[in-house]
Amino acid sequence: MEQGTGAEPAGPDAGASPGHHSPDLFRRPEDHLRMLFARVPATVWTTDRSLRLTSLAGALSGRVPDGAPAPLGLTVGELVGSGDPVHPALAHHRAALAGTSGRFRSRFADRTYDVRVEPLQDEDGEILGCVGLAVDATEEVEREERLRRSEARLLESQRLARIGSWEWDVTTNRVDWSDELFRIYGLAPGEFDGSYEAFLRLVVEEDRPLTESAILTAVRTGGPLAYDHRVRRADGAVRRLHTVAERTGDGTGTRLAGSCWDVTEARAADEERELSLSLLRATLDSTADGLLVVDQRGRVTAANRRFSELWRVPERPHRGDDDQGLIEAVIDQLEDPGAFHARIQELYAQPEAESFDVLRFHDGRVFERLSRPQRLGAEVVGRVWSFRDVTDRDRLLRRAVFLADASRLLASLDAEQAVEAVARLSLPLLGTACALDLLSDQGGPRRLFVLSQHDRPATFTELPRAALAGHPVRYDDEGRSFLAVPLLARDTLLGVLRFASEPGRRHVPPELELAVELAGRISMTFDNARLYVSARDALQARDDFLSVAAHELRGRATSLQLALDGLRTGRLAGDRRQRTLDLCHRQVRQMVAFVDELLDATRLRTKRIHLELEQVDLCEAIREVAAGLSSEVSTSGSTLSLTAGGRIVGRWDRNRIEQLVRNLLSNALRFGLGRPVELVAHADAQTATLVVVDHGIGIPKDRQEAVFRPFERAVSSRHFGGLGLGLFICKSIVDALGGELRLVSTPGTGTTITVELPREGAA
Amino acid sequence: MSDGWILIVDDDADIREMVAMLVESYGFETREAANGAQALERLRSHGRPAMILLDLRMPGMSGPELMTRLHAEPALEHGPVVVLSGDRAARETADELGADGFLAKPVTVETLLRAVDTFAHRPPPPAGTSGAFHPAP
Repeated sequence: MEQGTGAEPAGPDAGASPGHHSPDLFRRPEDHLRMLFARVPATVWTTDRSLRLTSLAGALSGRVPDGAPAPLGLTVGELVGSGDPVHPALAHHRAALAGTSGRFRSRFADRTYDVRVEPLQDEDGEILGCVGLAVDATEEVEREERLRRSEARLLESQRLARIGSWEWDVTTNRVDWSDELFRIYGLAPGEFDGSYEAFLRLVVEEDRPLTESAILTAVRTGGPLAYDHRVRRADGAVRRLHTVAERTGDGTGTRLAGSCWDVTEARAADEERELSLSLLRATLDSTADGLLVVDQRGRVTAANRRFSELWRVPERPHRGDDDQGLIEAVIDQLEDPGAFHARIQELYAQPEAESFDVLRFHDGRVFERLSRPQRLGAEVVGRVWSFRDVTDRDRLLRRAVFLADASRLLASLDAEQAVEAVARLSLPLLGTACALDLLSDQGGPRRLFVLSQHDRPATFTELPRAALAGHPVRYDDEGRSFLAVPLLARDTLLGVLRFASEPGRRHVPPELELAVELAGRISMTFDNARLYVSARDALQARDDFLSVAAHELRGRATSLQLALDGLRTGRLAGDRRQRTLDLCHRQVRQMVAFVDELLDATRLRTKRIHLELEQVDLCEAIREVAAGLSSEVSTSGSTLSLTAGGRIVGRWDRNRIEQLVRNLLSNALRFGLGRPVELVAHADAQTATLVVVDHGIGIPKDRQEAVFRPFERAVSSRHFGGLGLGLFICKSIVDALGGELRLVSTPGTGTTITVELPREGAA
Repeated sequence: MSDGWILIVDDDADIREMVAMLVESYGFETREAANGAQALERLRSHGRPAMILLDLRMPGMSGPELMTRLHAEPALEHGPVVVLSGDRAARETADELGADGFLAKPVTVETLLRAVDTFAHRPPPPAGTSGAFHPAP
């Protein structure tokens, strides 16, 4: 402490008793005073005018212990160890000799004392010497020092922590701010008038209501209460302050104190972190993958909403949930729970491992499962499971593979076998049972096959009407879901393909689409097979025709060869010569007719017949043709009876009518087995009817249509001559004339061909 | 005067007529059949011919069917059988059927009559031997 500067004159009472007594007066009570001063931390002494100690009572601790002989006779300078006149002890003692009292604080023997020195006067006021009093102030000084340092440290801490403090005396509306608070507000001490209103003005306007409300609440309740508000600094910058306020003082609620610090950056960082977290959460929840993160002990760390959706668990797993519970909740959905479980165990045993596999569900869903270790730095702290629903993709892939396999199988000419193989292939994909019913012109549907994956197959009852009408349809029957898809080729319904699901499972639209696609390919296979058979038959028919034609030509050539040789060698004379010449003419005529027939057939295959219409008598034509066939009739061994009296005139083409009659009769004679052949012609006003009956070999039912096709014959060409063009040409002529040709035939009994011709010619 | 009769089996009437005229001019009688059934009828009615000229492809009973019937009915004597066919591949068929000779249509008078010479005047061959006749090309 500074030494005392105030020089005050020694008053009449100053120095108490010493001022009123000579040093001799103290001798008697000396012992008493010594005892007294030993009890208090103070020392009293007197000096003479030369500043030699004349009395001493009390302890100058350390140097002059109580009870020790008093250092009387020493000068003050000797006592304090200094001759320096400005030494406070010397200066004050001298001043006292000059009549001035003084106080000072001084260190002596490692202690600090508050010292008072006054002049020692006799009754006349003459200064005899000095009287001094020293009180040990060492502890007080140290206490003050500690307090000072503590305050300095607090201020420094506040400054460093940017924590300001304030106190509001509500009653007087006086606000005191700490230095740091001024710095926080960016204000100099004079720039804040210390009122509540002045403070409020510094708060950003939209934060004022909340701030006031918080402060008043703190005043009312006593706090502590924390709140944030933004302030506008003198430099215009807006800062966010966090304040904790509490009522202080004697509990009357008139003072509120608070600490307050700048949280602008901290709040910004908080907001940043909040944003990142919310972004992460939003991302997790919007991803199409189901995510589950578990720690090393298999406890859930995180899971997103999609995870719950995918696995159909009612609630999103919580942090800390046991994964065993989760596994038990979902495992029954899987086709192969064992493998699912094994994989999890395997991965828990290998924290570093990554894995990828595919999970198949009973209900047809397919998930991809990806698993990776979760790392914090280099350390594995858990595992991330990611699940992706790839049902649609898997279905498309399986569909593509299936269709490719099916197409390969269907590239076979044995359609029925190929289709059955494809149906077998389709079973796990489209159902557990499959049936194919083929439709034909004759009779109802024919069950080609029914396949089943189970011992107790589904029952395929009546074909649904929609499928028979050509529409693919899904329907339910006896607790099962069925698909029925028509097999259509060139607008013809070939059959219906059906699939049955396992009980309780319903077909989905993509399955119906796949079935339709499959049905299209199967139809094409049937159609191709049919076309193949038809092409093969057509080729066979042409081969047969060529063989027959060759036979016919060789026959003609044989007769002509023999005839010419016979004539050349003169072996045939007289009657034989004439017969031979007739035969040659006949052969030539037949060859010409043969060529005509061939050309006719070729032409008729590509275009309609050309007609030259005129009035033609059918009966006359019949008689003429019959006359021309006399040789064939005799060769055949059959008799020919004609019932065609009178005239049946119509508007027809004469040559075509003759050709028609000739072909019908030739045919009947050729296949008549030598039995009678009958021709009947009659007419009404509109229609002429011609019926040719033989009792020969007849035509099997399945060949009856074929005989009207070019180059086709009802029987093997090895047994019967003729080009096989006859009935085809007949049909073409009748069609051209607008008529109708009907054939009724029974093998072994014979054939009846009925031709009806409109008499007015073609419409 | 007649050397016997020859059975001509062919569904083509003109061929039958030509062959008959030539064979008759060569001193044989002839009988005609338009198919196998008629041929069997002629054999049953008129006994063993000097030879049979047989077409293979005929409506009703064909040539091969007739051959089978002849083999199955040894009592029915028929003499040598020469196949006369427009199908060159029928030469093998003729061998398989056990025919004695084969003539390809169209045939010349010389070839036809040489075959008649060879088979119609030859006594029946000893049992167990086969002497298929193939005319020179």
